[in-house]
Amino acid sequence: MLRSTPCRSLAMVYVLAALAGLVEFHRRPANVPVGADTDGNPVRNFPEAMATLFPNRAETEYLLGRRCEVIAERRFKSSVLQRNPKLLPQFMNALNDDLQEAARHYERAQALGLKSEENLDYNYALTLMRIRADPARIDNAIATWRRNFPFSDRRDLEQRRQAIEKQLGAIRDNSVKE
Amino acid sequence: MFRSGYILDARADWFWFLGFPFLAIAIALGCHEWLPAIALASIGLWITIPHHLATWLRTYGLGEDWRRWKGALIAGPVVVFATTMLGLRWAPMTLLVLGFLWDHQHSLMQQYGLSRIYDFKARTGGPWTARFDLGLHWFLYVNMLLTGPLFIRLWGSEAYQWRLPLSAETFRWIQHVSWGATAAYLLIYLGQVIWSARAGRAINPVKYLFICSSYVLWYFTTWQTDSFLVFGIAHRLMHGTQYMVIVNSYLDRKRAAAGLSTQHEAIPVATPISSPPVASPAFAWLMPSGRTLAIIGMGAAYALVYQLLVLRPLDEFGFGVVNFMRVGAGPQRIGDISRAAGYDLFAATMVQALPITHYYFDSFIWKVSDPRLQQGL
Repeated sequence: MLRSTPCRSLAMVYVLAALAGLVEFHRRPANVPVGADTDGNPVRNFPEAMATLFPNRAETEYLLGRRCEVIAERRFKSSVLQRNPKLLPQFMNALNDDLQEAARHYERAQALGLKSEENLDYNYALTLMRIRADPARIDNAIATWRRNFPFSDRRDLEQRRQAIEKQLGAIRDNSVKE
Repeated sequence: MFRSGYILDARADWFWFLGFPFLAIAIALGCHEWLPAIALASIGLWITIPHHLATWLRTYGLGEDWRRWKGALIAGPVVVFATTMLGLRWAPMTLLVLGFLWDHQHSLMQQYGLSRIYDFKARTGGPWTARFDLGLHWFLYVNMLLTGPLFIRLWGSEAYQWRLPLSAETFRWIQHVSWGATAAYLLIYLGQVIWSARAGRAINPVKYLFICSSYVLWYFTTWQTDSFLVFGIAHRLMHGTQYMVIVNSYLDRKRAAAGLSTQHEAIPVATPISSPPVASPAFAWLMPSGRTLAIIGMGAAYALVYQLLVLRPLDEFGFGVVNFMRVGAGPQRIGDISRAAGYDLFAATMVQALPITHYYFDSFIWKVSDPRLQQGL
């Protein structure tokens, strides 16, 4: 049997890593959109599996919130909506329901003590903006994100708030015209 | 039947190795309650980054280590940094998984190594004890990774990303198998301990207290808390602090053996060593009589340089209590973007490659069966 030496053990680790890297390079799992298979699949999705295994845990609530958001996003991108813009108000109502549900899950996750997940704080604030929640709640959510992740590289939530308000205003104007 | 032996001495061991995990849990719970999430990064800067320096001090500072592993100490970082850069570009998930797995293997091997030192110091255990201990650590640690909600969240979602959509029943089946296998191994281990004691070999109870306290920290924070903040802080505190303590003690004893000035006397060496561990001149200069303070100061300076190099805010040292910087990236000019992207790759390489180099060095510099290492224990 070959004796383990520093060079041999490093070579062994890197040969295995190179094989896995080749698989990744060919299959590109990193390019699978997050949520396509993980959160949003109606038959098998990770959040529901976690909810079955570990109900009432903060991480589970966060994942269920993500799932509601993914479902909402998918609904909004539906080709049916693009073909028939008159359905917009109906879609907006459904979208709002999904996002309300997402916000409830996020709130529970925060109440249960999940602090280290930046996506939770960030997406919760975005969800509140999208459902046009009370401005004080949005301010509070932004403040929580800033407090927990003061050096985040992500786009500032105040900037996103302005963009979302503009976008929602345009949708509202379009639906009034029609 | 029982013979106690300590790594440092009874009082120091009770604080640093047996009691410290409980203190780390308390600190982590306190951070979770009263501090923002940035506290995890602060602990990383105050503990994790300086504990890498402890490795560099030992490997590049001790003449003996440098001579023994010169090839690996030169080629290793070159290979690790080059492959990390390639990985970041073409296989980032593989690189992350490699770092994640190696990190955990490294963590369990540290506790295994410390438990081996307990047997070495008390002259306990038999010829098979090391292998059984290694199995014990692997079973306990892997069981935690496979069954703990904190970790299922990680590898479970990763499995979905890799198009392996596991159902709740499959997860549950994996958990049952893991608990069953761990329980079976614990019985085998217990049988081995009883058999060894009946054969007249002494048992060091302090070793088992140490193993228990380590796994209480890991299992408690994985199962009873719902946040990586608590696990991360408690784990980093235990791992980094115990590592720095053992390196500090090791360097001290090696220096004593090399005849350099020291505050403590060298312990008797179990196996005679032909060549003394001569420290390099730089190391001798870095390690004056106020060695512990010097190491702490150098650790802080090293973390500061690291933070500046990876362009992270210095406020991260402040646990979120010191916070005066604006959130969000400012607007960039087009010409800056390629330069920024190039530097981002360098910074990401540093962040990934430094810990991997530390894991790699630790994989061969801490063999308790090595007579030269025993000289410093």
